[in-house]
Amino acid sequence: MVSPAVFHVISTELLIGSFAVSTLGTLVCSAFSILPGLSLRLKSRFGSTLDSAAYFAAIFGMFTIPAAIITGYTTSESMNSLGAMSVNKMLLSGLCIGFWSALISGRRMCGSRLWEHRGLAALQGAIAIAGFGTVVMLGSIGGQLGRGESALDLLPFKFVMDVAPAIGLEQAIGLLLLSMAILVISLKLIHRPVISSLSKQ
Amino acid sequence: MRFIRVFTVILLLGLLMAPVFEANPGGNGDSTRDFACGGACHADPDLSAPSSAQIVLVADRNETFVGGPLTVTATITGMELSDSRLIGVFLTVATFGADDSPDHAGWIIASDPNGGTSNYIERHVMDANRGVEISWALSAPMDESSHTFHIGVHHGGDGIARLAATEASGGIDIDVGPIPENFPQVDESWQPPTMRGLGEETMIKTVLLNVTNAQLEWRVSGSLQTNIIEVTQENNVWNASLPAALGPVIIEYRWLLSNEDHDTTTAWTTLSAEKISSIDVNPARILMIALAMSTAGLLIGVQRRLAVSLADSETFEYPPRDSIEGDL
Repeated sequence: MVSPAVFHVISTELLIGSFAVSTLGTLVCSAFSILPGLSLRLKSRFGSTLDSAAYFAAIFGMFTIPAAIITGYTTSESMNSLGAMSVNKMLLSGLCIGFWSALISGRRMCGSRLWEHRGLAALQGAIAIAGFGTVVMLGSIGGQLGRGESALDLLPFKFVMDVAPAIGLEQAIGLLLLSMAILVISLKLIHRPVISSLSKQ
Repeated sequence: MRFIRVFTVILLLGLLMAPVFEANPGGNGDSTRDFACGGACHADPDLSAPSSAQIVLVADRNETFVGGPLTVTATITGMELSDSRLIGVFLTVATFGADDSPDHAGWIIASDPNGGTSNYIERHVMDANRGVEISWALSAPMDESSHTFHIGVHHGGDGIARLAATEASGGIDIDVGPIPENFPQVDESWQPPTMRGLGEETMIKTVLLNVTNAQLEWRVSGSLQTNIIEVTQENNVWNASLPAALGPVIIEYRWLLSNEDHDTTTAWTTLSAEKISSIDVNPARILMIALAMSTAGLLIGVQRRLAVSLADSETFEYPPRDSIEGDL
């Protein structure tokens, strides 16, 4: 006796909450890494706690993405609202998965030593911002679909969300093959460095 | 052993999902359905409650002729609403629940309020007091007969299924008589357009019989103001062009036909403008996967290139801090 919209709300709240925690933790760790002076007055375990929280929240958020997509799709179908904005939600969901997968992969590869490298820390922070940005835009589209308004309406500029990119099946398959090639090159041809978890400190 | 565990988990998940999907609070979609459909929930006294919905049912004429037009309009107000604010409305030719959709009596639905040809449609209602007004355009059966149209409504409210119908009020009676001699009419093979994309001008083209003068009348759905479009004639084919819709607006149109003996109109046909008329969802699904893989692939590649220096370097970019505090 529960409509799909209720499950969608539950899954999206879990997703946004997890990624908000992860983004905040990642950004603070990035800031500490890029500007070491910031962390000098904080307890030694503060950074590592934030790092662990960000990592765990990102993993948990990734588990909620499929649930959010599936419940969102069933909600759109039941409301006959599978329109351009729903299509844009699909595409942003793909970007969201890509950003957060990369964030988790980077943290898993480097461990907590990731924050010792300024470039990696900056990249990790940028990925978190981009990933959370897509989550915010996904939520904004959901607000437009469900209530006809969202907090992003307050911005001085407008995101065009009600026009979907016109792309054919052949072009989509071509892009899929290209993206598969990119992923294979990244995973198989670019050497994965083995990074000791022990800091020289 | 592992198979048994997996099977047990799937079985338990299935059992957990059973109460979730036993009803359809999100609706079932527009279709041709008998009023008995959904009765297991909406008509079961143990599972349902009375509805406060008030239904007013009117037709644009009391009699028509074989193959002739008819517009039936229902106004439904005062219903309880569920969280989804969805109601399902049936147009039927009987109240016994089975085989009562108009097609069983030979009626053809030319258009429903959502731009399809279904006797059951679903609508979201924002305000129960304003309710919803919906119209069907029909073509009469090919035999002379009498019919009684009814409206049935399924909806939710306060967490329980509800049902309302025009059974008590008696519905509306329509007689189908013979075609008057030299009566102006639309060729029976014409299938009126009921759906179009945004920004598309819509050409209405048909063969008209026994017609000396024709016009196309249209209005925005729910509005009383009508507009007349002059038509052009090429041989026996009459053409009129409806203006493009710039938003997802629903309009209704009908032919005004006349000859030296008769003046008549066709039924109001609903024409919906959809935002997604040209959107195929399958490429979007593929593109979603492609975006996920390419984004992750590119970023993982950059991370690996950057991390090489972290693995090779025995020295840190930042000198390790020897203090207890402030160490990340």
